[in-house]
Amino acid sequence: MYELVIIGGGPGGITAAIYAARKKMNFALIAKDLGGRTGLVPEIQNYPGFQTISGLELTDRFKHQLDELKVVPKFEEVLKVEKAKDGFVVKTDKNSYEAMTVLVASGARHGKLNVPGEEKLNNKGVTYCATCDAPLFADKDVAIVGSGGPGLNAALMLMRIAKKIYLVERGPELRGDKMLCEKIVCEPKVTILTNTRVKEILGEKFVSGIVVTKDGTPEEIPVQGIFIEISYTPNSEFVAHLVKLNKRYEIIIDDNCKTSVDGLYAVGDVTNVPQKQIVVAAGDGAKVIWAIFDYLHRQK
Amino acid sequence: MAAKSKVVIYTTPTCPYCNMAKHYFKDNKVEYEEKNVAADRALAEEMIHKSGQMGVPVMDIDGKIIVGFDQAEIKKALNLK
Repeated sequence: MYELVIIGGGPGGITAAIYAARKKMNFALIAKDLGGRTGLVPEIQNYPGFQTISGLELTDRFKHQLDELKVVPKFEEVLKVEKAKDGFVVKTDKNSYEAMTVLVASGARHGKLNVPGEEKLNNKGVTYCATCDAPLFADKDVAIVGSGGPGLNAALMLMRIAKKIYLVERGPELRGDKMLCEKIVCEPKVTILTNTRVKEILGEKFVSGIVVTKDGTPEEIPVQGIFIEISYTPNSEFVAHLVKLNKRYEIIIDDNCKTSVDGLYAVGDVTNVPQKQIVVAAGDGAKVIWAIFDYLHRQK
Repeated sequence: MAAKSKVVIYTTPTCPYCNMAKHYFKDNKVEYEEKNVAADRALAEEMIHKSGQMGVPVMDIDGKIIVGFDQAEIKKALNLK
């Protein structure tokens, strides 16, 4: 039986693994991949120690640190966490693990607009990964939906590639980091559409346009690409039957990252912590190991 | 034999899934040809024509087109255990 099973290979899970390894805990790190959504960020400029670093490079550095500590992640998908007599059973697509404590750091996945045309034109102009697909839209007109951090990062990347960019925000103003907003509002190829919602994505084989409503008035905008960068869905399904979630399906945690269940902890984007930031997830990943270490000590 | 398969991967330099796919090929000692669609529009058109879509990575394994880092499909196409 492990003392701890960490679920998730993003900054929260990796930081927890680093701290657990240094405390010589008997633990396993289970992840679908390493880096999580961090790997998708084109430029990170708010992680201390790096003026600018790509998500890909930061992820590589995370991996090297794990390698040095001889942490070998199990690349499996967690299907369910069950309560057991002396702790928990973590069931994956390949195995089953017993653990005294579990840390859920499974992050979140991209949100969908749920409008007509979105499914049909997925990867045919509709994309959820600007970092991956932006170069395919060279000299094309594109729309970005959402003006939080991911939307603004997509805009910054596409400013160097696309011909014209519509930044669509349903609220009255841009939401993300003010420094990023300032760079974007000054760029002549970017048109900012606030109070605007996407109602439909148009196109036969590939995207040819979007229908938006601005202040309730419908309008058709011809674009060849649409980058959907809206709110995320937490990956909390496999513990939803166990722990208390809020209405956004985020796991509710206390100041020590403890959930409503003894021995079960959570950090990062899967939780109700409102700051969905790499550095916040990493910080909580460190903090939680102390809490888990104390909890295990009290059980002995 | 896996090593004899003709493998082409269409990538962009910033795409983490492309990187994961390339790591996967390296780990399994699979030789591959990389085509960077960000640098060459003709290659991007070739990828879109082959796969009928615009997402990366795209893999062409002996004529079988796989979109995204779909490990199970790649394994099958390469006859890996």
